[in-house]
Amino acid sequence: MYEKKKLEEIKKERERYEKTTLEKVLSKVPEKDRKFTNLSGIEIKRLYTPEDVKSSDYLGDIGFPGEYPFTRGVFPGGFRSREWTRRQVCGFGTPVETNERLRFLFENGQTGFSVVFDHPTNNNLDSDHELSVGFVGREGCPIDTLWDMQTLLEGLDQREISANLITGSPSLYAMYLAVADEREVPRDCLRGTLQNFALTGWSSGPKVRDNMRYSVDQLDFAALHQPLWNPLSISVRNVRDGGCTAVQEAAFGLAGGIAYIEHMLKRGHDIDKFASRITFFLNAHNDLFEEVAKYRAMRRMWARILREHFGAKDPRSWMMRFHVQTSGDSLTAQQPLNNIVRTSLQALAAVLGGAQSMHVNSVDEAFAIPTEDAAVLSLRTQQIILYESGVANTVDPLGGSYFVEHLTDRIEEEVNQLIEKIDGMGGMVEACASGWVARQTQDSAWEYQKQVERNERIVVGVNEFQSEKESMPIEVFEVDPVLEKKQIERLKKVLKERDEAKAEKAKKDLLDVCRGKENTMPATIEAVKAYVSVGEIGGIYDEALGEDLSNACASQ
Amino acid sequence: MIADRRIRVLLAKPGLDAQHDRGYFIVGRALREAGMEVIMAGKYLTPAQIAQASIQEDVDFIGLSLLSGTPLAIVTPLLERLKEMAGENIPILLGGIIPKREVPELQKLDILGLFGPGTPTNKIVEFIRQKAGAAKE
Repeated sequence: MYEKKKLEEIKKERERYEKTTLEKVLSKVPEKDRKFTNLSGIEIKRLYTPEDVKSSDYLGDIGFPGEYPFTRGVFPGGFRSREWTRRQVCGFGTPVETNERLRFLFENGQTGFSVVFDHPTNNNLDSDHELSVGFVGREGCPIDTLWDMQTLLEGLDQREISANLITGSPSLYAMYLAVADEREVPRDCLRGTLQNFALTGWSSGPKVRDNMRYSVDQLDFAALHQPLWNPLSISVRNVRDGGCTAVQEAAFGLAGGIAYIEHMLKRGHDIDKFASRITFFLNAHNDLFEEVAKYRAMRRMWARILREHFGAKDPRSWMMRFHVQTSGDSLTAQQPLNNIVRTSLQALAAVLGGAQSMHVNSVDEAFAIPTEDAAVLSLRTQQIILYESGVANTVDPLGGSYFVEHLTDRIEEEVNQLIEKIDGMGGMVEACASGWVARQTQDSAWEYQKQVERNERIVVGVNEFQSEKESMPIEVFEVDPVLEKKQIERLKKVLKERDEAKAEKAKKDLLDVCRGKENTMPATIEAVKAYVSVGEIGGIYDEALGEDLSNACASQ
Repeated sequence: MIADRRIRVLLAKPGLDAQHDRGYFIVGRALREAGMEVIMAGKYLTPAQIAQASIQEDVDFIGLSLLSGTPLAIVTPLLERLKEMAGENIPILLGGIIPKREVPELQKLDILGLFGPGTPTNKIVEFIRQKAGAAKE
């Protein structure tokens, strides 16, 4: 950003400053005896000056918000013209309870709708499956049949809401469309997001490649029929909670995006017909500047990948839009009220990094999913940052900071190296299938754990500043175990009352399609309309591939 | 009971929560570093599969990682399966979310190693060593 001559002058002056002013003071007041590194292990210097900003080309590397390469943001007006969407995740019990909570959040000013589903649902299993015992409605909302989706959406106008379905299960996307069809809401006016990201590293082996087919089918289907829908949210946020670093999170995300684009191009799509519908789902962790630099670096990299590597022409294809959920692994069960402070700082990082929408985790989430009060507090946290703190008054307020620009460049460099490594393995699908992504994540998690246990990293209330009075009183949300039985009854009732001949035909048709090459979405939609259950559909997917879940997913 | 050999521990993630696996892998590495033999049984396991693997591998301890907040729903059938295979004496350890309301019942079932979020790994290592030592005597 600076002329060579000016930089030489600064260098000379800095050296003088270090020998005189700085040295004099440090000899009396030495620095603390600890490592000054961020969470990715990048060493942080005492001071940054114009010398550290490699981006010598303001217009080419940083530029203006709303213009290539989007380092400073995707919207020219920032939060002045478009506030980020406050979108608290919700889902528990049965669809009845989840629907009640959704309506409650809406009444309290929430502007988007975000539903998390339970593990059986996300694994394409029904609530009465042997493996589902103890997991139904615990960490999300269970959905077995179309009746559940109808209940979940009761009283919510699909023309008005923007719905984020946090799942990769094609059945749920199909059900959302089926309910819209019933209500005669045209598909092309539906707004929302599917998580639909198969490259997280949780499962390895050939299953990853098979999952990609069903995942790309959803992206493919939406690209043709729903111009306002985001059918793929590159969800590396949860991988970060599994222990990977900010640099790894960014690299896994960008490499994952590249893999999806390559699949779509192979299917013959024009890059500019679908790229702008891809979004990202990112973490906001403890190290504020590292997070801000991560978002800025990713935005710039995505723009360059799309424009230079894939040749996209539409500027909208170059924009990396992202949703943030604050980190879960940084929350502590010890002195839980401290989590309010942690999540506030994390949310601030996301805002300073220019997020499009956000979920702030709740004070009690080291124990359970949030109580109603805790969920409202998270929403209030966002509202305080937006309306009281003043940080949303200007676009990219940290842009131009010597430190932040330096860190943005540095993270870009490291992420690029990692993406090259992944390319060398054959891309993100293979890097996941071989278990490499999982191992990288575990290695970083273990490294962090050792740092905490050796007291090299302070976690307030856990390895330092522990209180005698162990836990501060907070209320913990409990899911009534009776609800698991209720959900199973809901499933049984549907299976008993449905038109069996119609269901059988839909199942057979779906199996035929799955065995072939055409898109599985239309047949999945017909199946959910015939009240074929999520578990039955998952079974058909596996049958077509000759797989069964227990073998395919037993990753190490 | 335990002969002169390394302590053998089987770790498993029962049920469908394959995503929250950080604790499972961390504890596995910590126990290995402490010199124990660790069998990482995997994810998506039913109580019957965990019981069977534990008997086959002849382990001294079973460690379960659970974030669903429902340990009783998993431990109760696991103990039944172990009993059928004469393995009910293998101590079970739980890591993750253990709701207070389930603690008395778990203790009644003799499940004494309960490790919530933020537990330093050496606490788990010590617990196992102590129990193994007591069993030896």
